[in-house]
Amino acid sequence: MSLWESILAALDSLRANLFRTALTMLGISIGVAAVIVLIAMGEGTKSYISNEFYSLGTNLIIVQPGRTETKSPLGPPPGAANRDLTIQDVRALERHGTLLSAVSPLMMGSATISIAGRQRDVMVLGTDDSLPSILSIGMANGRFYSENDSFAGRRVCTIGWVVKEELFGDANPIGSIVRVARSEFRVIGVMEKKGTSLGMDFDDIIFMPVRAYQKLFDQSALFGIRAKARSQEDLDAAVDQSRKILTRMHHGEEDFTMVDQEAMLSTMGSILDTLSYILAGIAAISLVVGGIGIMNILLVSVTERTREVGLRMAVGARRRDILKQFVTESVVLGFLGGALGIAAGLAGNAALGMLSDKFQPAVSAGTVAFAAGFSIVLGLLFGVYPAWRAAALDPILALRRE
Amino acid sequence: MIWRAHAAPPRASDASATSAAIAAPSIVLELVSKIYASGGGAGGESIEVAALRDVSLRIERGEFVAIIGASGSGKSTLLNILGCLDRPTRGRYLLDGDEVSGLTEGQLARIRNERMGFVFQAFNLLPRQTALDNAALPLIYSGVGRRERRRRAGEVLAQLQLADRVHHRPNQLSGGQIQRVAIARALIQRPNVLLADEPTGNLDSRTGREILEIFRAMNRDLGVTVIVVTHDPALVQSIPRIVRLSDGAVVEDTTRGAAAPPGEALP
Ligand SMILES: Nc1ncnc2c1ncn2[C@@H]1O[C@H](COP(=O)(O)OP(=O)(O)OP(=O)(O)O)[C@@H](O)[C@H]1O
Ligand SMILES: [Mg+2]
Repeated sequence: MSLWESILAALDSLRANLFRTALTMLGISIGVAAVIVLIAMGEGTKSYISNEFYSLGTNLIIVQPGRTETKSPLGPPPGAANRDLTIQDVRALERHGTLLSAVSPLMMGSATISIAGRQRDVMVLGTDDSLPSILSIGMANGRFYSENDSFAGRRVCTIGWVVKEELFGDANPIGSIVRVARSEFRVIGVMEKKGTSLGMDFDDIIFMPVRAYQKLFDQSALFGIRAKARSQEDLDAAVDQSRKILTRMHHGEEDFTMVDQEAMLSTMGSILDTLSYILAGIAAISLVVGGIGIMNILLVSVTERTREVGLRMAVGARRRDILKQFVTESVVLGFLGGALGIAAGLAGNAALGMLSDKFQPAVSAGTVAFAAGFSIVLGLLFGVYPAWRAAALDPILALRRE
Repeated sequence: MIWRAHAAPPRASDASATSAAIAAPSIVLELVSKIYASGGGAGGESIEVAALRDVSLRIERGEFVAIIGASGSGKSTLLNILGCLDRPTRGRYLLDGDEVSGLTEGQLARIRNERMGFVFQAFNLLPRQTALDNAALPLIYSGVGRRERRRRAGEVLAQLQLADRVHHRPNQLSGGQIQRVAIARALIQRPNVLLADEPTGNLDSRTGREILEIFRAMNRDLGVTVIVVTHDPALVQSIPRIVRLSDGAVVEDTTRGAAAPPGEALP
């Protein structure tokens, strides 16, 4: 009997017990669908996170005060610093960091901003003129403050889109004086709409020169430093160079943490990979349960079809013919279950993808092929024992059974 | 590859067996016993049940034999051994001059497929398959293609007056029709020997006679050796040779004078 004929025969006998076949298949289908959806969610999360990272600019180098022994992708815990990062550190990096295209100090706080009776609590970023290029944020209106403004610590600011809408509505804010905490600032620009990145709403923010921030908050230590390497190829070298410069600035002590974007991403990536493999592994357990279901049903089927086995043997079927027949049924069952599971998994992914435009579950063709192959192997694995039981039947006893 | 239909390698003795078959008797049993060891003795020791005891039997090609005897006398056991479904515990079985007991399971399967045809009392057919596919079943195991299988099955069924029932399933057929499909299946490989275990046991007497008539025709026209186990005294009357078993032993073996001498039935 050709392979194709064997498959048709298997389909035929699976059809004889349609409901039972469907239930058995469901076990495999659910497992396969779960594996596919979970892997796709893992991949989707990964690309979501990397998109978020790259939306904050590329070739980014992040310096935080304090030394962390264990490599955490998110830098040291705040407040663990024993020596602060300062404007002088930024200047040193600007002067000696030949592999850097931009360096900015970063200070973060919150304050109430008000004008003509309207007010809003916003996040305040103290930084200098190169931050927009590092984080690739553009202007919607007006201009960002200049190097000169930064250096002089002029009380000027640029505001995010939401701040502008809330305080000014449709009016043009450029040139207006706003009150930030106890001081007055002149609005010189409105930032382009950026949305939320990594949990921070860039539209509900105001930027001011770092020296103005230091005066306003009476604080000199930096929250951190952000720098940009000249190119992706230079990134590693730029990190090394910056580390040397800062270590020298700190009298030979490396009391800061420096991470580059790629390292952060790959750390995140491997954490997420581990996570999604664990999840897929859990889902794979349900596949094994499905396989046991196949085995169980086949064992029942062998018992029910003892007489059939006896008849086939009487007309010349060898043991291996019987073995082949039952294994084929099991493999076909596994494959059909797998195919159904793949279809359900892909449909599930499509449905999840419609919930958000930023998060898109994604599976590779390789994963799908693997799932299909795995369900066939599962059918084979769990079909062999029942098939062997059928093939080992004594034809005489099988024919006596009624 | 397990998928490829696989013909057993030709045996070295095939050629000699064919030439010897003309002269050699079809079936020779020499002191064949079948002993079952079944547990359940009072002290836990196993009890031996002899289903057959030292049975010696010669059946020539083209003979028509009835095996009779009380229930439990070993009729089915004997038939299964003759049909190579079962092996004797002791003794020799020569089929067309070849010793059968030394053959492998695969070789026995091939003998059943090509040289034997079985008809049972009940549950003869695969319930989900049509008469056509049931009749064609042995051809699957000799690697015949689907189209050719169906063509040949259609032919044999037509000879058995079942041309208009080929696409029926067993539950759509009468008892007599089911037995005719089983006979078609038994004949499709043009076997040397047709073995039937109470083939009329579930039929009314008229249909039973019809089935026996088919056997007689096969025996007469095709020269097939027919061996029938039966309880039915009416049928036994018309069968030329009668072998009676009692408690696993042959107690009577009579050939009626009216029967055609062996060999004459051969074309
Ligand atoms: N597998 C077995 N194990 C133990 N004893 C068996 C086995 N098969 C058959 N026997 C015994 O062998 C004897 C002969 O059985 P067999 O089936 O050949 O009888 P039979 O003549 O065909 O009877 P019936 O007319 O009722 O079909 C019986 O006593 C039976 O109990
Ligand atoms: Mg019997």
